Amino acid sequence: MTRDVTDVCIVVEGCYPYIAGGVSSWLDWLIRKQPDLRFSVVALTADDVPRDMKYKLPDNVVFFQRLALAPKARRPRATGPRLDGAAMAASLLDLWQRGDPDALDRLATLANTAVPAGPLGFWRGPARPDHADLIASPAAWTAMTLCYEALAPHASFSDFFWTWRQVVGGLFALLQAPVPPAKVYHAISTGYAGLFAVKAARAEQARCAVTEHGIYTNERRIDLVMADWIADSLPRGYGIEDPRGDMRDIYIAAFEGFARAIYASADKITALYGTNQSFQRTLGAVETKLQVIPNGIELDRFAGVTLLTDKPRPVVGLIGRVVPIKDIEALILAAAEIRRAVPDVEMLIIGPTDEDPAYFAACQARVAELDLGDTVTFTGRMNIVDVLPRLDVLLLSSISEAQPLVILEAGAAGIPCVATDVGSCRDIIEGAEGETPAFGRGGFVVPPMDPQALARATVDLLTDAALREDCGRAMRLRVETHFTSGASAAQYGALYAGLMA
Amino acid sequence: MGDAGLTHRDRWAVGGMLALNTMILTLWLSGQVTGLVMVTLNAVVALLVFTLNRKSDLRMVLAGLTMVLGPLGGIVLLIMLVRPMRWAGAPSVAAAGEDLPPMSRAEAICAALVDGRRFSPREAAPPSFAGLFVGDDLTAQQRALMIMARAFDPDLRPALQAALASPLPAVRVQAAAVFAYLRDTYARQARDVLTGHHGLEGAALLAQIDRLQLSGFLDAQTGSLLAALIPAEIKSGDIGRVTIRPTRNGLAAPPPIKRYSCGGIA
Repeated sequence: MTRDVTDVCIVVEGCYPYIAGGVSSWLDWLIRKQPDLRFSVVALTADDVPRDMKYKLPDNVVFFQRLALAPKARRPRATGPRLDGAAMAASLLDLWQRGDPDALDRLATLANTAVPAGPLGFWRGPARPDHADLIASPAAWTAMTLCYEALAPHASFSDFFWTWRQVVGGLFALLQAPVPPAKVYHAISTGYAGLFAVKAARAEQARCAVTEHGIYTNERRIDLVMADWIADSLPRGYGIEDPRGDMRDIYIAAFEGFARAIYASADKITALYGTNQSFQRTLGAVETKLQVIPNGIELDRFAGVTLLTDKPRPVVGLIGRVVPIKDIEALILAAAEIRRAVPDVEMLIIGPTDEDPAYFAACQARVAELDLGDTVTFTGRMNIVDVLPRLDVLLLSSISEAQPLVILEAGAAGIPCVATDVGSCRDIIEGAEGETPAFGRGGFVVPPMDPQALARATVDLLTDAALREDCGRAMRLRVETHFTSGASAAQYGALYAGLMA
Repeated sequence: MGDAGLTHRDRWAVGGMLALNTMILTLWLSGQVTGLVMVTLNAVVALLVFTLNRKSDLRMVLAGLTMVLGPLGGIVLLIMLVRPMRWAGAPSVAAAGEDLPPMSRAEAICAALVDGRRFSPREAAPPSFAGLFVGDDLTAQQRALMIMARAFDPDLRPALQAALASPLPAVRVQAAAVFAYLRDTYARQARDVLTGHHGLEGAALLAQIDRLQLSGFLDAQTGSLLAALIPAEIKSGDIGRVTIRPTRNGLAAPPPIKRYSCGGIA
């Protein structure tokens, strides 16, 4: 591998090429679908523990760099460079509280400029600070205490200490990391990956794009709200007006500040579907930068799928892992309702059951409790092309999705769908706002965690063959028009060409 | 051990020892020597002091401290020498308290809460957040959802349902995550109680069962199994239920203080 100027530098956090599936699979697809472009990849990981690559890098990846956000720490040294803690704090707060992209430049300068050593290092010449100097030194202490006074003066300082070290440690790790030269830096999220792409683009006078599958800031927020490991040191009770910042607020503010800086600096911001753009607008993304590029599927795979018509029972299928986020329990409750209207219905739950054994056991218990043994079957993992012909309706009860591929795949096979109103399900099933030509309804979208609504919509489809056929046709046309792998790859190709022009 | 009893030679020994200790410590902290070299240097210094004058108690102590504490030995000895003088001139405890900076309002509130002198809002009845989700104040709605996740009360269930149906995707997504989190949390806690992995007994266990049953996140079967754990005499109300529901809003002004006076309550 050589280290020269590539066309596109992909910056990705916490997935490719070390984690399989999801965004990693998509990235592998994206790079392979642009064979005329030369890529570099910067993979951000939480630490520098050795990891196995789950993907063989495509031939058009000419440079790969791993960046640990929390490198192995060195103990503080008394002879380190004399840094300006107050200036560090001011820039950090500008980024943290306001998302000022210029603050990122100032911090990058601070992290990479050689400065004279302190009194105990008088024999040393000026030196660039290392990571420990930036997060564990007298200057860092000054910066930390100033940030504490500004962000969370009422909260526990010991908690803030670790919060600051974690947030700022990752920030300085990426600011000190070398930048592979490229014409376009493409971050696959905001957060640290987005900051690295912005920093690199600003340093190299290059262009920057951000693509978000889920919305990083919102996903972080949800994680932080749920995190049991974060201590709530302020007894705020039920007071939503309480302005005091606790650790959850501090973390969330940091990621929102990062996102603001990234959106302000990026040239293009893409999302998988329109709804996600509302998150981006909230954090300052301007309309002219926003673009929707949906994912697509390989239609050829489903060309030979022919739906069976002479089945003994009507079949409804859910394709997905048996885990709480898929809300399989809602489907089971809905199954009881559906069976009342369609007594011979068969409900298949198609997907692995070993990821959360306790949840699987709870689902099985619920099936037994509702006496649904003859109606509901857990099939385990199956080849989707083999199972689709059997389905009359595809059902998705998830409480969170981005752009579920199973709905696109069912649509390609002409199967009507019922899904919860999460991610881009509404766009796929009902068509995006202003869809031209309008293909009509491909099924029904219902509120999440509402088994009765799931059941009603499913029964409507099962009991009306003409409606089922119309919806199936609409789904197939919509998928063939808007959600093909080729169309998606072409849009990314055009995005890169536009940025490199 | 006081400073007054030091001989001229002792003072030189302490001073020299401190200088050597400081030098070795500096070399080690600046990464010029390894930990092993630092320990070896200290051992050599301690041996030197020990062999120079075995009749001096102070230098014997000094050598011993250096052997045990390494480069910190000299500093510890200095503190030992200085402490008696400092104590002699130190202000009284009461006077020292007066030197403390005044508490900020936040510190005073925190101290009062820690001491149990202030009504804790955590123990208050929850407000109704349901109306909040009709409006478009995203920040307030996200804060309310955070509160639901951290301090859920069954009275908040309508608000959570309203959040699930919010037209704002940011709210809907977070509400769904909160709902799933609470459902999983209560299901796990119910499993712990039913399998005996809870470490609770007596009133605490009853309170936990009560809390789980009131949550609204458990299915009927689990609820029945939990109810079966409650002793019959409590079910029949003979000894009263454990009250876990708070009864007043901690953010509202507390009731007027009653004063017992002659003839009754004033």
